[in-house]
Amino acid sequence: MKTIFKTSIKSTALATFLMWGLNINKWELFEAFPFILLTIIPIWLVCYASIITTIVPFYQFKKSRLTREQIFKKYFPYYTIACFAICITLIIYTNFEMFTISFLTTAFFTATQSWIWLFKKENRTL
Amino acid sequence: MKNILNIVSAIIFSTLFYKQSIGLNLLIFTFLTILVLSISDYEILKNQKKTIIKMLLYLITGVAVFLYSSSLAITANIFALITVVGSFSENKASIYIIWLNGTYSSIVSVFAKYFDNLQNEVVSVKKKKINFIYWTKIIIPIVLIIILFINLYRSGNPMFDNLISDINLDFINFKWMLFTGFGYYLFNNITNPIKIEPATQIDLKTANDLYEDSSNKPSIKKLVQENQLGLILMSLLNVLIVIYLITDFMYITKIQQLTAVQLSQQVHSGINSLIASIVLAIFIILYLFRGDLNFFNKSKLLKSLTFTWIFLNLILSFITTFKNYEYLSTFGLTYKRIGVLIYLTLTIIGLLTTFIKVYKIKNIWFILRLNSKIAFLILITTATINWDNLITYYNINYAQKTDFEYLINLSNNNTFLLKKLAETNTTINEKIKNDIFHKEKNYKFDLKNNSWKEMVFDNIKLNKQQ
Repeated sequence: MKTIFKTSIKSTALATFLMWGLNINKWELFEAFPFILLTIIPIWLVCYASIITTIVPFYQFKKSRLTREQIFKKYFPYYTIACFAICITLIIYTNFEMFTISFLTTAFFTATQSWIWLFKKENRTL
Repeated sequence: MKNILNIVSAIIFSTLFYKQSIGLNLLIFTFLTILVLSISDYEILKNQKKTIIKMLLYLITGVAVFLYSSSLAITANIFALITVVGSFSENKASIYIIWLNGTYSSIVSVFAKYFDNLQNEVVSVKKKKINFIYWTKIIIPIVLIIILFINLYRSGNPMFDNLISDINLDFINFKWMLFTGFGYYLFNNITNPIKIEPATQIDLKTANDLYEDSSNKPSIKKLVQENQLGLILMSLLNVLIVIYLITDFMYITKIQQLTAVQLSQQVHSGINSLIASIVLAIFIILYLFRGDLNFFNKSKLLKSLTFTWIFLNLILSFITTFKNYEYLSTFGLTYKRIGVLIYLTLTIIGLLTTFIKVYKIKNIWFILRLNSKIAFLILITTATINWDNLITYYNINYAQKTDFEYLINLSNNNTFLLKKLAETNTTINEKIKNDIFHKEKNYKFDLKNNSWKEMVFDNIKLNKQQ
């Protein structure tokens, strides 16, 4: 549980950086600063919920038969390919709208990096 | 070396694509990718004709993008890139595994390699030894000295001063840097191809042929039962298709008397029934000939019935092709009608590969491999055709009725052809002529506003005209 929480915090930091980094030119940095702080809470909620519902189940269902590294090797490729396909479909569906592109880019990279944070060697359990 | 190559490629990538639409830049990117892959994985490329052929196909799609800039050509180009990257991961795998590996490598190879490095403690320790202070001590004095010398030379030579002043770095901003970072990420991914395991290993071990499993033989009774089921099913399917074909022949003789709506309805319903019946029957054949029935000595009649059914379906496909041809010779080509023709081609190929599967006792993977390869080749081939121009040319010259509104609404690839027609043909009404000239004016405006990176083949045509 501790690892999941720690990962969600790291993911929130990454997602906030990417999300605002990709949209910052519409706002002055100082003007946007209070909003950046404010968005951290919903971003954390989304990150935590996404990790719990889309990544942790791979560990929970397979932990008795496979090691963490084996779970990663077996399911990470298909997870990322499926995630990428969904993102691309949504981008095409919304006619390459800039906000959608930045949102989905953030979601994709955050989800991918979360896998590594969750499954790396020093984490004995989740 | 690889890192420097990736950094240079990333800068070229952002120069080519940052705030640009697709044109010459994608062709240059195609060249660049081939070059980078050839340099970074030269050893893999040696004696691998298949990979070289895939690279050539990739290059062809790049040229197609420059020529027509169509969505199909862009899609084919991305598909070909994935195929080339996947070939560098594992060239001997089936094409669908190559696509899987290519996609995986292109999107997250860096992350997967980073995870491997984290697992390998030795590498992690080695990485920690990078002495950042040492490199800072080297880089900062060099940068300061270079800046000092540039300023000295600027005051000494007015031409050099002008040259330095002309360097415009306004385009470098946070977004540009992020975009360049993305380019670096992409090149890092494609120059570090990885495989999906165990899918790749399983695929490499799976042959195309079916073998008789003597250790796990089913009982003769079960085989006879399955054979009987197949015989009855295939006999009934053959009878049904013969009746269908007879009625269809009778219908064709009246085809000239049909109205446009009736003919359209007939072609479309014919296609729908063809799709449903052939797909379903192929599944039945694959199920029946999935294993031991292939080696059962009393299954010869079943095989003959299957071949007859495949042959009758081929006739059905040709009849539908004929109906479609009749339809388009009267009302002209459209994307939907071309789609029907491509579907019919795929159906005929599907039937032939099913025939080979049963005749040569191959497994289901054989069909999947062969059909995927053919689908890929068809995608590349169709991407090299200027469809809009072809549709326009055909409809103007051969169709009995021409829908000009449809032709005007096609992409800009037919603009010059339409304009030529509007100038020479006196029978076209003024409204259509005006619409064509308006389309041409807008297109020329777009072409003139294209930067060199967005240039397409029509830019060259336009320059020649002027």
